[in-house]
Amino acid sequence: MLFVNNLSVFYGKIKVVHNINFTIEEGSCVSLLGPNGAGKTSTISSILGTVNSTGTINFCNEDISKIQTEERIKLGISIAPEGRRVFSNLSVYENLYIGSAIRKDREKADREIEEWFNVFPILHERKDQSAGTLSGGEQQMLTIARALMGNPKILLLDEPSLGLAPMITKKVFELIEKLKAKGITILLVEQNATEALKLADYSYILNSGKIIAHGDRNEILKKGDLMSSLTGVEN
Amino acid sequence: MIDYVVQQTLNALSFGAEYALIALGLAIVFSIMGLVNFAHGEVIAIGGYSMMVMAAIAFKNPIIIIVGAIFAAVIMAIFLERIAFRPVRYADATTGLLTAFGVSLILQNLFLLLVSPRPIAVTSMYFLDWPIKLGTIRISSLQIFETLATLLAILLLVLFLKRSFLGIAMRAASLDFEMVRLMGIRANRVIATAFAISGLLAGIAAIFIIARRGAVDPTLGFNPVLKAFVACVVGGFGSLPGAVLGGFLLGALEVGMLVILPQSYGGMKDAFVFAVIAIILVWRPEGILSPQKEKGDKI
Amino acid sequence: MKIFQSSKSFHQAFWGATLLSFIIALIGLLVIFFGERYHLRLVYAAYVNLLVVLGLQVFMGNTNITNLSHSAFMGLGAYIAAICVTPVQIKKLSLPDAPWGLNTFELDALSSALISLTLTGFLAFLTGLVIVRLSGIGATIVTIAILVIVHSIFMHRTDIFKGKQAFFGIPQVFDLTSIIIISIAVIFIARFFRESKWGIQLRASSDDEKSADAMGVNIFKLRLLAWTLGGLILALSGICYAYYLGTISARPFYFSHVFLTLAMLILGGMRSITGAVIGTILITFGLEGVRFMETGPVILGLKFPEMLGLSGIALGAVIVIIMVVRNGGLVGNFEIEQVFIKTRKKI
Repeated sequence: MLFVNNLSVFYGKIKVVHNINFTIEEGSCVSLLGPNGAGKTSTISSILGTVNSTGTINFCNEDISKIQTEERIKLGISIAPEGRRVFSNLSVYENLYIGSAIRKDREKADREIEEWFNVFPILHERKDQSAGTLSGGEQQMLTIARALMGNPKILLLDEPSLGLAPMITKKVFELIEKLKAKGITILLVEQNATEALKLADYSYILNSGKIIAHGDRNEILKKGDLMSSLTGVEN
Repeated sequence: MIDYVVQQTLNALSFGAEYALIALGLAIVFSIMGLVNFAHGEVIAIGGYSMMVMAAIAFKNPIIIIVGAIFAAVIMAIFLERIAFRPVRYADATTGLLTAFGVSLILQNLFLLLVSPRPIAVTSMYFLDWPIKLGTIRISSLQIFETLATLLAILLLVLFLKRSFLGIAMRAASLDFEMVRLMGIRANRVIATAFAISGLLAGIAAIFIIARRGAVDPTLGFNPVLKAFVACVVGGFGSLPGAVLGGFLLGALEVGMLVILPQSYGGMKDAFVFAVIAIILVWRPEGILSPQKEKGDKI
Repeated sequence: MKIFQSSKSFHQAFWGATLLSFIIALIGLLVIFFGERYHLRLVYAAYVNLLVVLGLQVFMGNTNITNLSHSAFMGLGAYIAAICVTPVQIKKLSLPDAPWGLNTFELDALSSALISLTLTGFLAFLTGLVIVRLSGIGATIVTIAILVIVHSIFMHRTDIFKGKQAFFGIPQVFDLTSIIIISIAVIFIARFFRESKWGIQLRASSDDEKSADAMGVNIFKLRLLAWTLGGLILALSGICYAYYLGTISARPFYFSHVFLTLAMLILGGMRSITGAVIGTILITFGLEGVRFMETGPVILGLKFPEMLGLSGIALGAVIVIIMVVRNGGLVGNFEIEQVFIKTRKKI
């Protein structure tokens, strides 16, 4: 479904991602792991078209590497960005409403908002409250819900557990597990490798802008020494 | 004495209404794309010139002239965004500000070159202005219209921002423009809407300015925008409630200065008003109601 | 106290300023020897504008905050010097109602200039206390406020400034040679300030306020320094203006002059002194051409219509085009000596 070929990302003249390749099959959950500054978010941004990059990004048999960000979203790519970035002065309901911006089926979208309110009663309770007043975990749930309101073909999750308490992190991963079970294609970017490896069907390890290893959970865990130094996974 | 207070309050309201209208137009564009649109005054002037043209080609119906002037201002605002401000959309605030200065300079001189450096009479809005006597209070109908029109415009704008999809998107964009694009909403659409609204407000302002002055000249909008600019900053740049508050505050301040200052200092009104503004800014450098800015550091 | 962080910055500043001075002097000398009488006046005015642009550069170029009050400080410098230096007989005639005995004394040109510099510099310092505390747009708004306040005082206090009418009778103190010398001195001052450790710290802080703050650079003090120095240079430009023309009025110290000089600085590139000089030269010459077209000349048998406003359109177009195409101006960070001296390549 998503084929990234020979992708490099530049900030000005500085190259931060070096010619990487990876593939995400429909219905699978792929994780992109690595330490801070490895180029994970830059990779996500290049899929979204918010940074300068070279190489091709093929999504649903279409090369999207030259088209505008907004058009890529319309093709069915959704993002729950790092740091959550809820619209803090907008109400919870309005956040979800904006999330369905590209939808044509207004009524169905409205029903989905109700469904989300059933999944997260706390969001329903606070639906007219501004999103900035939610706790970090609630904001993360809102961000994921907002991204799914666009009815995406693929969901990009950038560091969903960042800065959350362990209990909340657990809930977030449970949610991702559920989404996966529903058959939603997911690209998960994480520093919390233990959890991410459990979830993902296939993983890529990124360091200094290069893919240094890839495989399923067992294959990655075999390369134990490399792994523990990079991501802190215990054997 | 009470009469005097009421009278001056009404004066302050109508002054303030005009500034609030223009300041809102500046603030809505600034809140979305961080552009200080100094060329807003020339959008007002276009409204004025379009009335001149319509009067010249024998449109007598005031509704047509009013709608036409507002339409002209909206088109002008959208046009300016397209040709001048889109290239500097993601540039820093200084670049945007200076670009807007340049655009303002070009337009003012174009009016001068193509029309006339002198004021040209436009009397088609005089019908809005007749004296009203309430007991001993004497006011002009124009003041009432202006205050009401401004309040109505603010009300409609609030409704638009709260209820409509584009309105909500615009509020979202003022917090995190890129995130709005990441929701699949076209940046061009949001920004064009912001400019259209600012043009609409400028057009309404133009009608009242022309109704009061009865003439249009190349600098028609320059001084009002200068004041509205100040109103925005005092209220908190980019905050829409701040723009309205700043506008009315400025109106009150101006009328207050006219009341307090002795006759011979009347010409110095602006100097005192600006001095008070400078002091307010020292007290609150970000303005009275500065908007919250929350943006992610990455992407 | 050390002014320069390294001898290299001193050398760069010195050679850069010398080269620019050479160009400036050359143009002046050519005009002195070959120019017509009416040229002298135009060229003198251009040198005054060069001083204004340099004064503007000292603050804007180093802090990246748009200043629009420069013409007000120029006006203050001009009026204060004019009031001091104009003979009592003339002042009795032109300012019969002047308060505080302003029309009862006269001073020599040097004392008048010094008083003007001191007072304007002090006003710059006072306003600077406000300006430096504000960021970006807030600061720009206050500079507009200063411009409006000063202008309405000029216009309204006709008993001191004569408002729209001409303040006349100022003795002619300077000629073209004097202003060439002054321009050269100011080029050196502006360039030395740019390369001084204060200038370097300021430019660093304009790029990244927070980190400069963290490194212990006191931005407020440095900005205040730049603002006051700029104010002094602007006062000097006003003095030069008054000391040559003999009559001044409030009109030229307002928005149109603000835009003119701003366009000069932006065209060349506000971050460099070379840019300021180049911008001034280009706009001065370019505008003469445009003004010629404005009057409706006959060229090659073609009669052009009178086109009032053309110069304003040209200035506006220069500002917009530069901002859109190349917002660092023609030369960006480049300084003239880099043609000859190899400097560290910047990323």
